[in-house]
Amino acid sequence: MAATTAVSPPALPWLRSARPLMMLGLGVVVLVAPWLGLGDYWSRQFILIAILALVVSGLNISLGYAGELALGQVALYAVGAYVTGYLAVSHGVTDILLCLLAAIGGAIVVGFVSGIPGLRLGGWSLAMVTFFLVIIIPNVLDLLSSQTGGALGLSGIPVPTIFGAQLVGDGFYVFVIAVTIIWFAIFRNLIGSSHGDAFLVLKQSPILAATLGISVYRLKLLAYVVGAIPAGIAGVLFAFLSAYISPSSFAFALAFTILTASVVGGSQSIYGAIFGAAILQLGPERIASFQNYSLIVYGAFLVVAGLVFSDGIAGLVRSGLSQARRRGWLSSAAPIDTVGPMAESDVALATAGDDTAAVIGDLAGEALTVTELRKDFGGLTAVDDVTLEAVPGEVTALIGPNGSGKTTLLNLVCGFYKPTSGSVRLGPVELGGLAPYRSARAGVARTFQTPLIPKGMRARAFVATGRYVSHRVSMPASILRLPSFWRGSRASDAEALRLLALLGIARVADSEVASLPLGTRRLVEVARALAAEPKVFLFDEVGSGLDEEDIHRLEEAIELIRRAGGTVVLVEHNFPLVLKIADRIHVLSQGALIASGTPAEIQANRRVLEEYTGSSETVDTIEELERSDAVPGPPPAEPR
Amino acid sequence: MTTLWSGLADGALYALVGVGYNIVLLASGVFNFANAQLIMLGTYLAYFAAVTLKLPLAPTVLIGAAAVALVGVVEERLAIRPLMGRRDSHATLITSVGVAVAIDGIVLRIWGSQPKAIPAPLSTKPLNLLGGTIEPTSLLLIVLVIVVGVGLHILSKKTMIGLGSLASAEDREAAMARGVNVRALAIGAFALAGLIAGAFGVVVGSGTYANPGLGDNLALFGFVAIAIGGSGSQIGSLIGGFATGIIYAEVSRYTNADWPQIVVFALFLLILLTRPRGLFGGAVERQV
Amino acid sequence: MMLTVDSVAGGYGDIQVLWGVSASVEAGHVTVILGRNGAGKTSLLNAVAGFLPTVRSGQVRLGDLELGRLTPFERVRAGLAYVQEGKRVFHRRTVEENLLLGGYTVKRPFLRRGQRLQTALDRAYERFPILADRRKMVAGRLSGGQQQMLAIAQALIPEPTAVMLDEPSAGLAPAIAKEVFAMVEGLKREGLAVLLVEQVVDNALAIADDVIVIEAGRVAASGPVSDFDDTAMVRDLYLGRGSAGLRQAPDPSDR
Repeated sequence: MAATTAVSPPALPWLRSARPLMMLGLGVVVLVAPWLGLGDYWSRQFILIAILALVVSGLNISLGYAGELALGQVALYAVGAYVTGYLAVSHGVTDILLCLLAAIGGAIVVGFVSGIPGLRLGGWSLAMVTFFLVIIIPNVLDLLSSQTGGALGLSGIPVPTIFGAQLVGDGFYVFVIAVTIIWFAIFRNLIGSSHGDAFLVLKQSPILAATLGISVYRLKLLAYVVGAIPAGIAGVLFAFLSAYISPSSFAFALAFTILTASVVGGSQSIYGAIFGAAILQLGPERIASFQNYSLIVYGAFLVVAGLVFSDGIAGLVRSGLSQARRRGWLSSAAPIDTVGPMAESDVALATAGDDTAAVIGDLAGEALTVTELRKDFGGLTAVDDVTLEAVPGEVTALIGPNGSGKTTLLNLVCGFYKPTSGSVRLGPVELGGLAPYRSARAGVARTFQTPLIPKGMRARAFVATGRYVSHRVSMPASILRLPSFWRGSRASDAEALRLLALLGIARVADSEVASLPLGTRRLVEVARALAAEPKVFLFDEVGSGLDEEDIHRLEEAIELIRRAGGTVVLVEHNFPLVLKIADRIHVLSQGALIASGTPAEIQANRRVLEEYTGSSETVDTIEELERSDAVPGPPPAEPR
Repeated sequence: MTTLWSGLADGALYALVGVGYNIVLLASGVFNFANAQLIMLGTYLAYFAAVTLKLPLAPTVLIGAAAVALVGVVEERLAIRPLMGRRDSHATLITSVGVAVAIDGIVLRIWGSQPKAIPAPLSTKPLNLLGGTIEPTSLLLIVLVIVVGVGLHILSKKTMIGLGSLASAEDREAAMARGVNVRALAIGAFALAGLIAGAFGVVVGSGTYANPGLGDNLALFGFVAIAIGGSGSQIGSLIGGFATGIIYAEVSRYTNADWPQIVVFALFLLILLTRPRGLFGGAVERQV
Repeated sequence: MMLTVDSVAGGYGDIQVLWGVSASVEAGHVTVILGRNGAGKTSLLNAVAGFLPTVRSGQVRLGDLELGRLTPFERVRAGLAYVQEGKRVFHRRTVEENLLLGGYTVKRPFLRRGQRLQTALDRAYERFPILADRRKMVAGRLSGGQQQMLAIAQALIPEPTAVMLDEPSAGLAPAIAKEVFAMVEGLKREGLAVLLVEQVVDNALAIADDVIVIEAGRVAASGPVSDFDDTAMVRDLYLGRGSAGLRQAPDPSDR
């Protein structure tokens, strides 16, 4: 890893911390420990900790990052061990690398078989399927007893070899630690990449993930299967370590140990697995008669952990660090609480005359065509045969009183609802009935009235997630830190910064998005939408709750998009904003389209004002209202 | 036919667990992983009352019911209620597993790992019924589980509390706005699930023995029961439980001891793949 | 009984949405709350009903009873009714079951649906004949207007002394919206204290006794309805004040 930090640009946030280097240092120390005087007893303890840490890290990927409770690491661990045992005993294969390969393959297969049905329903299904997997271990082993030794177990597993040489004693120790270090490097590289960010988004908001074009089901499945790999590896190591394996090594008490270790160390952490494993491996050993109380303690741990610190020890460390930063004991990225007016440079960047298209890139918007679209919920018609079109290079506004169907229409375009009849087309592609992530991949970008922002993400990383699907860097490339990974992350990061600057909020690039004021968060979301280079932008009440300054910045942003040829659909309640920037306005009421036209036409339209305000006796149109000389209302209430 | 009876008897157990899951699901939207442990606790308390204290049947049942109801209430207060407001619904997964593990541990600590026999409440002489034999206690178990399941179904439809519970499962906030005391419902549900688990201690335990692995085993099969029947449906749980029990028994009859569990597992996977909402649709889909 | 909101401030966890809002409505009166989307109108009603997670300061009183310590369901028992926005009836239950649920807090024998409730149900069917025709229909199948009627009917079953309605006319055809407003006016005549959040300004002002305008979580204007000019009101609410900006620009550090 020393080599990589020399090559990497210091700006990328996930490399900034010294933690990986520290852990690597620790790993190296542990690696050479036998030559520093580590005795046999402790050697064995370290190996056992490493093995447990591997299994726990697999659970961390599922539970801590993808948000799915899986109780079946034990089964995958058993697969690894028994594949090894079988190959070694029945076929004399002692090459540890071959066994690792076979075990990983087996774990992946079992992972798929259990993950596909288990993830179909949310919540408990995966937990129960994987739990079941553990319970049938003895049955499967018994059925295959000629290969596995059944209930009596498989003994006589020979000493492992690597390239012909035997791995014993210190040699085996070094191999185990090395494999563990390599796996955690892989784990870290995976989490510290766009995939890790995608997991975070997935865990905290599946809706947002779908809006980014991520298939929630597939990503969860991928996380679960990737988590199967270290368990398989651990099984191989264990089989060679003990030379004898039996079903009793894979009882479901172990499943609870693994869960506890994960939670104690912090499920949403990379190295927490090691700490959790260490505590659970060493703790029981130190305390006599712990066996009798182990389950009670684990159970209590789980309850307390679930209640109090949802992120385990790693979480405590993290919040301790952020507390320290807040109090100024540690330096931190510049905290941005308020965003002032655009800096000169930002303004220049953002409004460089006719070069705007060059600055923002040609957006290649497509026309969004809605034809006789209808959506019924039981007896309620939310969208009533609406036909309208949003054209590239124009801002099309959808307005109407609450309950008029604006948001339902948006949801139909995004795929959160299926149309009852009618069609929604983006260019040539029919969107009606597509799942939300497919809709996103077809080029739909949407912001939400209440911005969906995952916790623990900086603005630049969040904006970059917009490119997760469209500029995908493969997992292997991310893990191995291939050149394509560096190119991709650098490009995404640069693009994220550029977009933030374009919107005048470059200064918040390193701030945690969830802590930004509402107006700034909205702009970050716009940047995120821009990053996806969509064919149509759907802005859902993006002006709601903003003050004048923020709205002004928003207007400029939308103007930029419009001039660059993007298709903008604005669902809005803020009349002045709409009248100012829309090219075309469609007015909905009770699900039906009642008026369409330019701002001037809509202002002069009699029905529109009526729909919003009830019949007005003195003034019939918005135009008249604007020009009216009516006496203003009473003075503002006295502030108390 | 004897196999069928045996399958129904086992199935009754699974249905019982499923019913307990549903009671809590419907009233609070929480899946209580520890429900099977409550039933296991019921068997141990039956052992304690009937064998250790040598009490007759009625006090045994009462003690069991009261004690496990109390445990249920404590679980709700400590491990579930503090989490009810939170956005992140994962926490109750962890805490209810924690409670289950803790109960497993407590039971092991107090009574050790050897299964404990519990005297049957009815005579042990097998009955001849419809061409097969069955122990009276097992028949009692089947009948009682059906009574409880159907009874709860009727209660949920005909009483205000049942209606409030269904409403609360559908839209908790709207139920609160109508005056439904969702907190009391949650507490009541945990207490009721515990009460039933405890009351069944003797009838269940005389067949299964009080053994520390009972909880985990039942937890799983109870889940399969509600997966088949649809979460939130008591009748569905009965059907799902009995079906699982019968399949298990029939498969055991014709093959060796390893296949039944594997077959049930395959069935489980099949249901999740083809009809994840079960027979009677999920009243509480999201949680399960 | 009078419903009083006294300088309530609070929000959702870290996000503060109300900054010291006061309002009141007497028995037999209607107070209308107006404001743009996102101004805090619903949050205000939520605060009164007990659904606002964080209340930092202020008081809510029904008559002499301070509601602050009561849970939402206890407030219903105290006589407060809340018709939430979005026609929040129980879609899976029948019309009759929905009405029964409205009567959840009415004292009755433990199991059976007692006499008092039957009377209340009959009264509801009388007042809302549309619902009487559809007793056994599942609520999800009703039209929007019917669902709104059901929501209001539900809320009235326990004979509350104060009712809060959040945009009851949203998404309804003008004719039906008029019926809703007529109904609300009827409540006023029966002596209830009515707190009404609305967007359809004119219809609301027609039945209002007092008006409160909320802007960015604060009261921007308040007073008897006679003080307010329909047209100017609509202009202010929907068109803003043009380039002058808000009357009181919120302090950035407040957010």
